[in-house]
Amino acid sequence: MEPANYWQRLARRRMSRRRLLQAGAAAALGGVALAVVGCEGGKEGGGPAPSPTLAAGEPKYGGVLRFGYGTDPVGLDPHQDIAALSVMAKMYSYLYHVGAGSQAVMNLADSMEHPDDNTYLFRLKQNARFQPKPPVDGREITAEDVRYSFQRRSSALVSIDLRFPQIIDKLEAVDNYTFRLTTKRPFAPTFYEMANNTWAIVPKEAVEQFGDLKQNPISGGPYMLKRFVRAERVEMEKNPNFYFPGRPYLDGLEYIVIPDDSALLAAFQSKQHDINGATLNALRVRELRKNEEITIIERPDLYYPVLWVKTGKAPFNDIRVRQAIDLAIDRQEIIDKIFFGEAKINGPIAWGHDFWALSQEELQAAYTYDPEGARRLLAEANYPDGFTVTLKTANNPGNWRDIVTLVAEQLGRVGIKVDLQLMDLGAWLGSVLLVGAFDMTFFIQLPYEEPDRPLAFYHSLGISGNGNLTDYGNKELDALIDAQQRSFDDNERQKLILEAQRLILREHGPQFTLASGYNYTAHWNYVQGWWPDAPETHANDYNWEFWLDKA
Amino acid sequence: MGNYILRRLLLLVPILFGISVATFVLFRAIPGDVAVIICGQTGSPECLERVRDQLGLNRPLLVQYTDWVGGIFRGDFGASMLSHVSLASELRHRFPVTLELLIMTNIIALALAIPAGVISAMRPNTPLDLVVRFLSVLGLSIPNFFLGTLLILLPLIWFDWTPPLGGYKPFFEDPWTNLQQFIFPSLALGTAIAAGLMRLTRSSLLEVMRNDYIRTAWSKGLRERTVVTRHALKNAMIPVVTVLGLYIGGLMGGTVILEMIFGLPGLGRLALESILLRDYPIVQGLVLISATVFVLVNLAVDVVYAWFDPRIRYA
Repeated sequence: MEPANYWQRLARRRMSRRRLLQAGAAAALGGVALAVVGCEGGKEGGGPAPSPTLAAGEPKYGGVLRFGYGTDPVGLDPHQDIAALSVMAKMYSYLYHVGAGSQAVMNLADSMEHPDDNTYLFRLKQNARFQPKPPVDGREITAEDVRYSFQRRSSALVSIDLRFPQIIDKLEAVDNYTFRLTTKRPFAPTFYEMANNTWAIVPKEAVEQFGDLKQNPISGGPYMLKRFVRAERVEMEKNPNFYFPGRPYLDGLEYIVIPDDSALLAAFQSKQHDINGATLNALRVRELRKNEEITIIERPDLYYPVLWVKTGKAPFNDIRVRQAIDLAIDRQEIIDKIFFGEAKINGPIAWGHDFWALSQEELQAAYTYDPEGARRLLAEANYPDGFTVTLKTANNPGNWRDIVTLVAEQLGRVGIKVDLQLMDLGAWLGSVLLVGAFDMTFFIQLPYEEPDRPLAFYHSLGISGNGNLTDYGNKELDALIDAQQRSFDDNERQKLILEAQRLILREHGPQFTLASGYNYTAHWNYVQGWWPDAPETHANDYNWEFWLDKA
Repeated sequence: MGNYILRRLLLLVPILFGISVATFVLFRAIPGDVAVIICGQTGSPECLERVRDQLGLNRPLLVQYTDWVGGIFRGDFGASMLSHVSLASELRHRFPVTLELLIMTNIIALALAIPAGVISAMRPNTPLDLVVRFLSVLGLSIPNFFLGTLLILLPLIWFDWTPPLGGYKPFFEDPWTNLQQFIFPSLALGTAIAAGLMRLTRSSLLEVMRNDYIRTAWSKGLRERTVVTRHALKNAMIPVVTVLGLYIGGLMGGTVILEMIFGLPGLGRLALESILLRDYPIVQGLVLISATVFVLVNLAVDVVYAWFDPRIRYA
């Protein structure tokens, strides 16, 4: 297979479709976004694809960029800690990542090939070096380091990503600069699976010396750790050994941890931070847009709220009851009240995955709001007076609590009385979700960047491969989900995925998807080099093109 | 007095034993453990098993308890199951933050409460007294998290400025930034305490002022200032000190929310985050330390009584 292989084809096709959609969205959402899309770099895959945020002069060297950060990083080991991956991505090396326009942006790898369905071959940069810190002291990064890191990553504790390691057959260092990954079976999601920021490259001797890298992150990324104080700050300085000559531009980065969202936003507005760390909704964004010194970038938010029901027993084993739920949920009300109008309906795959998602027209037709119809179906299912159901969920602030409260109220309107029980996150995870001890539960799904994982929640084996926590199983659907994993032809895979989603819509559950909005980034105009057209939530985590346009 | 203090210190042993058992058992009775936090919302049974095995959570509770207590006797309070950082190291970093917050809160509370209480008591039922009493009710009524948020947002709206949030600077490294970082949360925390203490100072002083020895002091022709400061105030302070001691214990909890809002890396925040993450060793250690501090503060209060009122003797 020639180098312009599946990945490049995939990248080009999806890029053009996304650009078109983004341009349309930008036109609808105001001038700033339009300017941002208009200035994008637009470079084909195989190299860093800088797309400066706004037209600006020559990049300037120096300065320290300050990020507001709401999460307290517990540790900085990418194979063990997942709470601060965006911070870690600035320090670690990766083979590649999926950047602007869904293109593969090469990092430590210079090129990648896909010679057959199960083999992935990476040629590494020669003379790429680790950071100049003990115990590696800037030694060369080799394919053996990649093999060791992928092996360590594959045996990590974090279960969410053990899904992909279960597919891996062999990890091999072919020679010093060639790394080969072989899968047990054709697995199309590999392109994205390997690109998430847990697949960092780390030196074995550092792991052996420190036990883990939680306090001592060492790799070959653009920045290296200067100071890490939990609950306070992560300071980084420029890595003089970084293998992209002349990068990064900045002398360092500083992440300042403030757990309170309002305080985080106030700190940004008073210019204590250069890049906002607070969660922004449409209302806050409208306020921020009034300040011309602030740039706002919006992308589809891949987090998506879901309602789960247990389909193995009454009342939810009756499809009429599940259909009644779909008819009782007013998704437009969720969009208007929770997202202030700036959101779209989600099918089984969130709308942000434009290529793989069902169109809004199709979803609107499928998800009609019909409380009368819902009551009629409940009566047919022998629940003329409705019923009471306990909904246990985490007492997480923000959208989480707001959406579940609204949905509970909507179900109550047709006679499904919801006894809403809010618990702390640990209690909910341990005693409800992970043990499948619920009749109904609600949560916000993680921002999966590939359609395979969202579909896995409908597979009879579930996301972990141990069975579906909702007891749901449908052989026809399983076959479609399995088939899309094996398909490297984009169009064929798209057909399978759309077909699977249409089947899910007819099945009404076990996971009811609602709506989600946009992910907003705000930074002061003097911050340059943000990749604005990166549709994936984490694409800018790897960005080493930032610079500060101020004296 | 020495014997009394020694006896009280010895009492710490059964108290701490009881607290250690209660914390250990109760915290494990809460649904969910650190394994579910590590494995996350898509955690598989294998992941949970593996994490529990690795962290020793599958061992019998008695073994885990004796391990933990044995460590304490060796001076090892354990380490976070998530970050692997020892509690001792966390304390070194975070205790000064909470201590500074407590000290500044108390300074602000006392500086506001005592003069206001004295003025109010010396001029009862005058417009001045009414104003002070109105302010004290207001201070008691405003929740500290609300006041804290106002102290951030109002300067932002008025002056495009907020006090430095997050990025804690130790006093000896950058005193000016440090004071800006602490004065606002201390004000938010101290206002309610000041209001309570002011009312207590006022009522206590009013009562003392009716005593015979005060009448004697007046009849000797002493100035008002001398009567109040040398004779009345010292005696009026006994209930104030008692309540202040209790407040300091309560403040350990009150600091949590202010530390969150102002981004200060203190002990309150560590405790809250560790509870939510089910980080057993950290929570257990912190509860033990808080209990010890609470007992010691109350002992100190008892000792201070004797200083305020030499008639009080401990046998």
